Amino acid sequence: MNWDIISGYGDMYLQGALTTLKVCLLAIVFSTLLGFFIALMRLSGSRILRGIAFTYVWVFRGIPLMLVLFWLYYAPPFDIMLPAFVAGVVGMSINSASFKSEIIRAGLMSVNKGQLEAAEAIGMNPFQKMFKVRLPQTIRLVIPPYINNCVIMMKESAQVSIITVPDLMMAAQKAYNSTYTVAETLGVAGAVYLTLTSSLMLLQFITEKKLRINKH
Amino acid sequence: MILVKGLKKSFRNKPVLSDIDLHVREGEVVSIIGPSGAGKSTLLRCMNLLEVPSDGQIFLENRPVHFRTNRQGKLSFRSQLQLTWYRTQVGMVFQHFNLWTHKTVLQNLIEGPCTVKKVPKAEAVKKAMALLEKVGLADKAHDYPGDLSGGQQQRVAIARALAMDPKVILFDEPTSALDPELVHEVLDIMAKLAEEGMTMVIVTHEMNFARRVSDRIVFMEKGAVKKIGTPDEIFNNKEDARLHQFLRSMTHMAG
Repeated sequence: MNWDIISGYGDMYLQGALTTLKVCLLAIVFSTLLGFFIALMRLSGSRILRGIAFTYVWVFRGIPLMLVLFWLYYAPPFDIMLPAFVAGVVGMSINSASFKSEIIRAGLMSVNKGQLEAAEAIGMNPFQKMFKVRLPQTIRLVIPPYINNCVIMMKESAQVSIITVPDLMMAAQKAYNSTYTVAETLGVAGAVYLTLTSSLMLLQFITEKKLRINKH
Repeated sequence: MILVKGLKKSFRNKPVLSDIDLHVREGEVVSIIGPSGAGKSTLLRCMNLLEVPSDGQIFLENRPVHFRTNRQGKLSFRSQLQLTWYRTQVGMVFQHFNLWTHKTVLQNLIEGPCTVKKVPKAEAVKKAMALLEKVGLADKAHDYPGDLSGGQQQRVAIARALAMDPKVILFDEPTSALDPELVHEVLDIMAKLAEEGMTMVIVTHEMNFARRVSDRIVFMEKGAVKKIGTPDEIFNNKEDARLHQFLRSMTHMAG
């Protein structure tokens, strides 16, 4: 192990890791919101909304993330030129929302129907019912598959380097290409990715523990 | 208090309730009895609009209750927003309690008042504790419903309904899901409420209880009201063969 190589690229790695983290966190936020609305659309009474949501999930769950990234960056619709970073975040959000919507939909559907009726019977309007009874229980139910999806996202984010986003993978690639060492470049990048994903798993552990209903 | 006029309900063109008229007066306890499949629970759920009547009218203290269905036959979104005034005045106690499992007993009691009626939290807590005292569960205020027995959960559910200060409470087979030895603790509280003058509509299979606390009893069969009368009129009935047979089979079951 040559420590000089690692410290020489240290700054680039740090910047790369921060970019990866930024892309991922933004994409997680946007895909969660989008996924929530798509899940609501799929559960709605309107046939049109259900159809739109179904088509969305069908298409974006079924095509590769890399294809979406290419499309947004190199051949964007309506000639909107997107900066690489934006294209990366948007592409990942669109892709991941299709998976997250299914996770959230499963959670929303598993909430006990009687408890929703009780909310209605006590006079809650549909919004209060959603935010006071349905969502709090959905969140508890979906944490494991949801974090699982976020971990996958974090690893998949390496693909944004293909459209020139200077993320951790890009840094690792550059470092490798100019040194041809493996452990010091790719190995270190792997360790940083593992650290990032581990923090998500830690988050899962903490939230599950915190939200557990019977705490004894 | 609650007036139901010409209420009809059908599921996928199959009639379940046909032309129900029912007037529940203030302070009255009305029990609905009848064989399973008679439409007792459906009637109660229609009165609360958890099921939307296919036809008919409902009035609460002479004020008409407006409701519209969407294409799925459920309550329209707009009706759901507009019916809050009605739902807050009509309490509901379910067969399976339906307490919110992610909230403590106390939170279950204050959620309705705080969220729907915008009662200040301190006031709601004070009232909730008094109600828990009344149903004998003050020491369980900070437990979760999952830690309680069925009888305790149902007592909490009754307290939750009371916390809204309803004008009438609907009970949908409140003791049917309970272990036999826990039934009395729920019935005792209901009897106490009846004594205090609460207006109550109770769907039940507890014949002795219905006979003891009811002012009137409604006998339903095949989606229709077959007979309405005082407990004595219903239980001493000789003319109606079907009612007689039903009551005999129910009292046999109870041993």
